[in-house]
Amino acid sequence: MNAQVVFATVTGNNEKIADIICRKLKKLGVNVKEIEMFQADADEFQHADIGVICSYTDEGYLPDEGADFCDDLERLDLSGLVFGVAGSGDPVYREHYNSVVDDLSEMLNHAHATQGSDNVKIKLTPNHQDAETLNQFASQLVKVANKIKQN
Amino acid sequence: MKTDLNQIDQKYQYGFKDKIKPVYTTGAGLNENVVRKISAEKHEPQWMLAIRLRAFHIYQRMPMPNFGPDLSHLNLNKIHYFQRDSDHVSRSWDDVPDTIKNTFQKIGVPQAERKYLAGAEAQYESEAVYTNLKSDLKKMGIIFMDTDSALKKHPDLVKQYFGKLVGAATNKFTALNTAVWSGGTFIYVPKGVHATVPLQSFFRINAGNTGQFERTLIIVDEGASINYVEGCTAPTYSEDSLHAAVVEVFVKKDAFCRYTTIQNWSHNVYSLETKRAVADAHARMEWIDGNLGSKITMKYPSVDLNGPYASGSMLSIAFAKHGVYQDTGAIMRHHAPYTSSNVISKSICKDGGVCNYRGKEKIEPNSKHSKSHVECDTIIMDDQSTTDTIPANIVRNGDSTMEHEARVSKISENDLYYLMSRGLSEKQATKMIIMGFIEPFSKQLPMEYAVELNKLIDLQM
Ligand SMILES: Cc1cc2nc3c(=O)[nH]c(=O)nc-3n(C[C@H](O)[C@H](O)[C@H](O)COP(=O)(O)O)c2cc1C
Repeated sequence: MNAQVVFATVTGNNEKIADIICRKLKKLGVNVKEIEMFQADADEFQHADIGVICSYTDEGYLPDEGADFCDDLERLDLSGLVFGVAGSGDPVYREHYNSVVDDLSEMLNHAHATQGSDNVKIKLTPNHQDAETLNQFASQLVKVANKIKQN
Repeated sequence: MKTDLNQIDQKYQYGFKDKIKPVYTTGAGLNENVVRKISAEKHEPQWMLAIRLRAFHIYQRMPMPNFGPDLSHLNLNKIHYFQRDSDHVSRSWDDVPDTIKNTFQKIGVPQAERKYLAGAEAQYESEAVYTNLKSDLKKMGIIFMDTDSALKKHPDLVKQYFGKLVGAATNKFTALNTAVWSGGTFIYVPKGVHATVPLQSFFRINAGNTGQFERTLIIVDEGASINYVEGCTAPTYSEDSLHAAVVEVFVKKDAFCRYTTIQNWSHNVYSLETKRAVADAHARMEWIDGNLGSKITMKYPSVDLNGPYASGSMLSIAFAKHGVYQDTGAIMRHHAPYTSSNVISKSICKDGGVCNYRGKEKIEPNSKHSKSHVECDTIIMDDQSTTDTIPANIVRNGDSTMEHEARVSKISENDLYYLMSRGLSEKQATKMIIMGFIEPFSKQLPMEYAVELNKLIDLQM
């Protein structure tokens, strides 16, 4: 099974989130490719079983450097893909707290991908409890992807 | 030559406003209740209400666009999100209310074209008040009606295609449109059928502060073809008005679609539209787009070339005078081998107007042997006006070619001098040069639109 984990970060929190998820996926025997959003090609989700995005929110907006990636995301047919979205944000941004996590999962749903796990929103740097949530998030994705593969 | 110039010298009579009281309105502003009311008032199926509500929540969450023109003066709480002036869609010309007929008369729709319109649809306020499916279109099996009626009569088709190209989360205005859409055109052309006459629709915004959220859905099935034309003219009024339409076009294998728009909103209108098309193998999609009015236009029609040998084109003109900001362009994405795209963008800015080209061409790794060509041509008529070309060209394989040309020029002194030596005034000579500049565009329009375009350009010179 193949997974593509895409992250966008400025200060490193979302990379930490991506790393935790990757570690867990690898433990579960998944082939993992981890890549930064500005280098990522949305088309590659078409060849993966699991797609994960971890992104920060910039005053309610998608990261600038990810504009291209996100724009493509929506237009693809990702019906074979199981996805999950996580992000680190700061609650002081109120209604925009991790809002990009919802936007991205909306886009992936629109591209007919299957949501394998609920969105995860993390406050700033992931702590131990967050790491546990992310491990469960990763396991859940694998479970759903396996189920789909069997059918 | 002289008579032509005299004709175009007559001023265009667009700045009027009819007195029509909307029969039903949800008042200004938007909340979940308004969305529910809109849906209930239209007796929509539950699944459409669910789509609207989901989009409404996305709309609340999403920020305004963070590029291009300043939208901070657009007050979304003051807009009327739904109203209609006619309780039912008229069946025949006789049933069309007189006030609305008068509007067509005032726009100066020629007699011949009124007959033409009898086979088309007239969009008035938020819903079509006039629908008369021409009998030969019907015989060919072409479905041509407003999208609200299509939802009632062909719910399965609408459900299959609605929102499949333009997702609610694409941007704030697609979320808004999905939540409160009303009206728009629905066309289905069955396999192998060629619509021989252009299908037309006439739009207007009438009451000040009327939000217009048309939702247009066109499906051209395999081997079929269609030529769709829409013209927009708006009377002048003082309060800000928003036009946030969504258009989705599906061009199946071996099919053809040409979609022509002439937009001449009055100078208080925000025209923020999202138009997307998808072309399958050997299909062709053409956008022809003229943006002459509005306060701010943001519109970047796109074609996704999904099958081998698919092609897409965009031919556009933008005109911006004082207080007008045209931010337009085209998006072409090549996802399959042997695909081609062509973009020709012409713009004219004057008296401090702004015309930007913002486009994107992308050739994916698997899209070998593909071609993309972009040409941006701007005439800038004085030093107060500004223009910018913001292209993004991405080629991800070595077998494809991409060309981008951009030219910005002033009206040539030599040309002016030459024409004036032939006895034309400077104004007439300038007009002639501009007409020549836009000719590649106007020559692609149906005749009556070309005449109308000349009148519009004349008014703005
Ligand atoms: C200019 C700026 C804007 C921000 N906007 C948001 C926001 O809209 N929503 C949010 O949840 N966090 C916002 N944040 C907080 C960051 O998303 C948060 O610090 C996050 O942990 C950064 O992730 P990173 O370390 O991966 O870059 C913003 C931070 C900055 C500096």
